[in-house]
Amino acid sequence: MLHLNTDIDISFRNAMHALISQSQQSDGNSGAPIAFRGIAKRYGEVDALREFSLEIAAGEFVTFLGPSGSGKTTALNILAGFVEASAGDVLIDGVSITRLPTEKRNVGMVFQSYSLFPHMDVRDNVAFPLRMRGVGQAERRARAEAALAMVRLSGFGGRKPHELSGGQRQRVAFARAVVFEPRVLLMDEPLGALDLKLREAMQDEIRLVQRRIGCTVIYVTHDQNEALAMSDRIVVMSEGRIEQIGTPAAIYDDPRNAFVAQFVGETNFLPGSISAGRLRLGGTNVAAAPPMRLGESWSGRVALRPEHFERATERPNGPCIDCIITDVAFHGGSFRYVAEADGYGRLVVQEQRRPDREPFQVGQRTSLSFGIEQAVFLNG
Amino acid sequence: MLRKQWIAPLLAAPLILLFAIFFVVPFIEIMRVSFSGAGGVMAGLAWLWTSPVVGIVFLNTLQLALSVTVICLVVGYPAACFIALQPESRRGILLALILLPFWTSVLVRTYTWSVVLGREGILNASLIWLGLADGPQRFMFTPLAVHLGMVQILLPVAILTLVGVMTELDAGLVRAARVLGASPARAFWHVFLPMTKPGLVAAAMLIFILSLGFYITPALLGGPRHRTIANLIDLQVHQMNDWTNAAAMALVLLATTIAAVAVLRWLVPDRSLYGSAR
Amino acid sequence: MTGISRRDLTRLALGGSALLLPGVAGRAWAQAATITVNGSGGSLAKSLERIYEKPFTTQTGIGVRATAPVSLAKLKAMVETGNMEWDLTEMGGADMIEGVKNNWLTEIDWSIVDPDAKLPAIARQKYGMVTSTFSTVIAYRTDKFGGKAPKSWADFWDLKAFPGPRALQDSPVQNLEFALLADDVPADKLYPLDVERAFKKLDQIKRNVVTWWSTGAQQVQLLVDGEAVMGTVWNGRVPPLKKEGKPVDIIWNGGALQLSYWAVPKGAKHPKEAMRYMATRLDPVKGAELVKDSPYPGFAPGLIEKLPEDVAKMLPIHPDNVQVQYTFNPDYWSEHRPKLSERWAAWLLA
Repeated sequence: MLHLNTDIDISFRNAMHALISQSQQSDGNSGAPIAFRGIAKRYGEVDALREFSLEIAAGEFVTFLGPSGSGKTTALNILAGFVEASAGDVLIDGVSITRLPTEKRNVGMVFQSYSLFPHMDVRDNVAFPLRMRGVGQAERRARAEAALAMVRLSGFGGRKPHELSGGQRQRVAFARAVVFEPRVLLMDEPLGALDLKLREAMQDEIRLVQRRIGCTVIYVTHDQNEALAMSDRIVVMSEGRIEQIGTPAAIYDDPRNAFVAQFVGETNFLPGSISAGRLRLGGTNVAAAPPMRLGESWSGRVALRPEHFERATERPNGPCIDCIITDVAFHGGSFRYVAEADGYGRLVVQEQRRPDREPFQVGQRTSLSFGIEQAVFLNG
Repeated sequence: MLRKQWIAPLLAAPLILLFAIFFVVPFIEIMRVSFSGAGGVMAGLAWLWTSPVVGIVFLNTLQLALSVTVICLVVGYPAACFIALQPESRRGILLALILLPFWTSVLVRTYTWSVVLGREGILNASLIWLGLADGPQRFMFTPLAVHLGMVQILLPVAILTLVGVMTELDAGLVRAARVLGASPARAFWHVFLPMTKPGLVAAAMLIFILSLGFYITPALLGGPRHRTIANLIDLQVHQMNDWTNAAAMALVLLATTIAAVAVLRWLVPDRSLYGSAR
Repeated sequence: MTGISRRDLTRLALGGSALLLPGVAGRAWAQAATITVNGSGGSLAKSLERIYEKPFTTQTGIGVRATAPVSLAKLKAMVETGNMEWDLTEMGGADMIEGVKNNWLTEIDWSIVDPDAKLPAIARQKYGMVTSTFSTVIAYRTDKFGGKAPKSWADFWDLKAFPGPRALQDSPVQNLEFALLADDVPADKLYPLDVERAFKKLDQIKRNVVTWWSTGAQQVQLLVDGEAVMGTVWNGRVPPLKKEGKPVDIIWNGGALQLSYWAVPKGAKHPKEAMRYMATRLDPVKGAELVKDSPYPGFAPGLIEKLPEDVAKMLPIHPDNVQVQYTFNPDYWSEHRPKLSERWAAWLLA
């Protein structure tokens, strides 16, 4: 490459770029890394966001997960430029964008309400970002059609947004957000207005297209299932703070605190303590060795997922909890039971359906067990 | 289903009844009385056709209504934007201030302009004091005075209508335009302005129709060229006692109004006028 | 005091007892006969009640009910349906002509109203009695011409000697007469009008007429605000301004003297009582009292002598003023108005 002059180098890159956009293919490296550095946002007395720091790798799919008011949308809006941070800096591709106006940040965005322009047809909606970037009409049209084809809406270009179904509008919004091949794509609860079936189908589609384009995605949702299903990493947030950052599996299996345990997946909390190296749950000694790191003496809560429980008969060595079944719900592949346990309170239990065993009945007394290695020990 | 079909007309019934009692019936009655004289409708219409005055006054009225409408929209639009962008509590106060002049009679407000625009009025006094004019300039009884008077009265209609549309507008759309690459100016031009088109059309329609019927303001602030159809009707009724001519002219005014509504409805189809889809 | 009859004495006595027993007798009398008198209403109604209506009831026992407004259309409707509500109504000059032409009025029995023929002939007409007079005259700003005062319509047209904007009514009525007067046509040779000559004369001043007023309130406002330095006004509008010290005055020379009437509609229920009430307008003392509130006097004999000179001079019926005004001819206008109005409007727009 050393003997090539600069002009040739540039034309080569342009040709490559054209090739990539034509085929809607990419090597997965066209996304840009993003960094939040000590971002804070105050509205009067209220801290909407505090000490928000996060590094996102190029091409990564990161979800901000949290209840409303957790600051996840604020963080996204600061990145988009809708909201000005009270402190801190945001970088895309290593360059600070804090002082850039929204339109210069070159990010794609999909909104919960779709925000399609009602006075434009679908094609003009999708071509809008290209038009704003001075792309000529013929190319604009071709690229808009390609983007619509990508979301399987070829032939819908002439329709008005109000003539489409919710799912179709969502796909138009998605096509519009990616048509100019942004290196960063922001999605603010994009599936919130769709019904469950459609939502699941769209999740797959979004992931598929994102892998093809290779852009970095920040996805905001309060739906933990969505977060677990789609993300490379999840940022769990509450009250303007990051509670935990990790892969979906790490978040699920090893929640750092009670909030995360409770917000991501379903969790049973059992009061627990250790004294003289022996574990007690709900006031009863349990025949299991507690984790070494907790030491000789500890008191807190032990978190157990519903699927961690097993029938004591099938796991004879584990700690044993006697209980009475108060509710049974059929979930297709599994049963979900609610049980009342002496000294532990209410437990939620999930059990795979198997032909070789009868489901529990309401009012049935039984004994449940679990593997101590699956339990998460939480302080306080 | 049957019930649903009946509810809308039932809700509209009081309005329709009022409209029938206080507009349709008196209107038909006036027309009947007016055209029952010698010659009837034809005499009235023949007069409209042969009179050297009616045509000119009619065109002058249309021109005045049109220019007043354009000015109201041009002046009212930025004001409405400003109000729509305020937080809700302040918006309420501003709208109340906009409405305030409605508590003063049109007559008083019209007369007040002579205090400002008169030969010995505030404007002339200021100009002379500043050395910008040697003597009193003529502002009263000019197009300027008529337009000021009418715009001042009709501007709140433009602002209220536009603020209504603007606050209903999904603010997310402008944000979407911005993040997708539009500068503030282009977001306004490509998204905000077209989205407020129904408001502009509704305001234009209201102001144009109201302007067509204006009567006191042009008579007090304008010259002979600002006499309107309404002034001519008044002359026929009160001074000439010629109800046939007056009614014929009223019919033409009504037809013009209906035509204006029809043209605007054609320019902007129904759906976007009375509620926009997301 | 010589002509008091026994019947009058009885009435007086009964009236006196009615005063003693206001609740009973007064009402009983009022029910016996109440006439309905239709007028313009407004602030003047109170003066009329105090000066004429109340004393009349006290004296005669005949109640007076005042209604408003004056409306030819209503008179027509009541005559045609035979449901006459009024016993007496005010009529403008043009309305009077319509009323007579259409036979909507009752002939006046002058032996009741004015048995001694004290009123001048102009006030005694077959179907009506003149109750008030007014005049459209030139008013001007006394402070705008360096001490000079315009004296005639010729001066109104003289833009060199009396420069400044003019104001005239938006109507051919009277303006054509004024133009002819300015063009030296003698006041008694005005009618029938030389329309061509009048418009030609009006052409000379058209550009200097800053506005063509259409309401009574406008005329004086234009002068007070200085929009116009000279214009036409109704005579009664100026004395209050002078009293306030405003620099305005009027010229009687060339004024249009107009009359308004009291008439008894055809089918009135109490024509005799109404005519007796008409007679009260002959009393100069009451007339002088009314002039204080309204400078539009009738022809009550001896009225001028009852008034201070400065007040009398501001009235259209003052002998000096009568001499210089011309008598407006509503007959002419009733016939020619539609055509001339059309021409007027076209002339204004041209």
